[in-house]
Amino acid sequence: MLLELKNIFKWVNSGGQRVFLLKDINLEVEEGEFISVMGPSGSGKSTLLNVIGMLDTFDEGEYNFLDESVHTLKEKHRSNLYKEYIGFVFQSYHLLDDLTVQENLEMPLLYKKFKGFERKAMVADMLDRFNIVGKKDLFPAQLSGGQQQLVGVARALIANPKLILADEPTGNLNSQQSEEIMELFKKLNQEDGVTIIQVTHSEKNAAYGSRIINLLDGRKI
Amino acid sequence: MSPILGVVKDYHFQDLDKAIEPITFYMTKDLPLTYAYVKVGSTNMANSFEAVERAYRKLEPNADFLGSFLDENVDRTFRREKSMALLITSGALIAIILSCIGLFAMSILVVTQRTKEIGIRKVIGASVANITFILTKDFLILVLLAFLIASPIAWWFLKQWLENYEYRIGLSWVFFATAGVLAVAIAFLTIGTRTIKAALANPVKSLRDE
Repeated sequence: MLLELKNIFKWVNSGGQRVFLLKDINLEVEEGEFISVMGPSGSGKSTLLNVIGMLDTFDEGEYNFLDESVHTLKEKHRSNLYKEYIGFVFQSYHLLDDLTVQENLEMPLLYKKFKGFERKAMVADMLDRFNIVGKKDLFPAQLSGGQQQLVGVARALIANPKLILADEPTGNLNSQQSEEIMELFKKLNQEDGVTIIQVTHSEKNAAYGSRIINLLDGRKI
Repeated sequence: MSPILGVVKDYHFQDLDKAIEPITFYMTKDLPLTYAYVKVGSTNMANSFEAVERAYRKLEPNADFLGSFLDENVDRTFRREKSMALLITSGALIAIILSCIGLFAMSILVVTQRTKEIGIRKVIGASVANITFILTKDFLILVLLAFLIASPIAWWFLKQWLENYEYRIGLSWVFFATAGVLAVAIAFLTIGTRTIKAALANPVKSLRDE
């Protein structure tokens, strides 16, 4: 099992009242799954994704990731864990504007302390795999949305994570670009065995996944 | 001619910027009395001063008594240096405070402008130390640049100023190194609060899609 959430609660205090963002979430994810999280706006999809990605904390419950209990880990240990195993893909790509495609891909490797020659090889390999060798010296602003998201996915994948978390990865793309990104996810999942959890509004995108989780008001339904 | 009664160590009997020259003391009854030096204990200075004055009035009832402490006289020769030091120190202090206010404002601006970038970098694995370094680096480069410009100028002026004095310290690189380290430390303290806070912030907040 890759990860397991047990009775996760997350809330904020607003005007003396407790507003629940996540309510009693239980979830088990096996390696190689492709899960779609669906639900209306404000139902806690992104919050759930951020909790799984260890970017956000929770107030109650247990979270085990590869047999490590995340809720008891120190901040530093936790960030090492997600640095090694988790890659993020965002709706608005979140590439670094001042860096070229090549440099954007290299950045996570720098933070993970890969050596220079390793980084070069891994970046070259990723450029090749995603057919963007010709774009390596362009800046994000010079690319179309679909191409930027391609770079975003490549960046998430570059350090060989076990889990990709995608928060509405096609939200800013047209239907053809969306389809390409979803096909890419499908291929990554089926051929490379990468576990994927995506948040999506679209039934069509959700259908690419092997399992759908529906959320409403922070609760799994 | 009279026999030599003793030899004293070199000491400053003129302004400090003058070299110590030879001086001879005569003990002769033919010369009129101009100065009398009295060594007193340091326990009750005021009483000693009055005792000396009473003794003097008894001996010379018609002359004015112009007594003073020798160490205060020596102090007086330093007055120019002291006021100059005070002037320079207060000027420098005001300059440092003003620069720090500017630096602080700049750090707020830069951190605000780069909030999103900080969030992205954190999500792809940057540590708090990485982020703090990125944000602080540009400022420290400026400080270093200022140091490189200021050091030779300071060195030249200090050298000129020290030339005025016959007895002076040498200019050591240690002074400049200390000043440089101090400048970097002050700059870091000024911008550190903002940058570290930004580095610690939860990236989820800065990356939220509208």
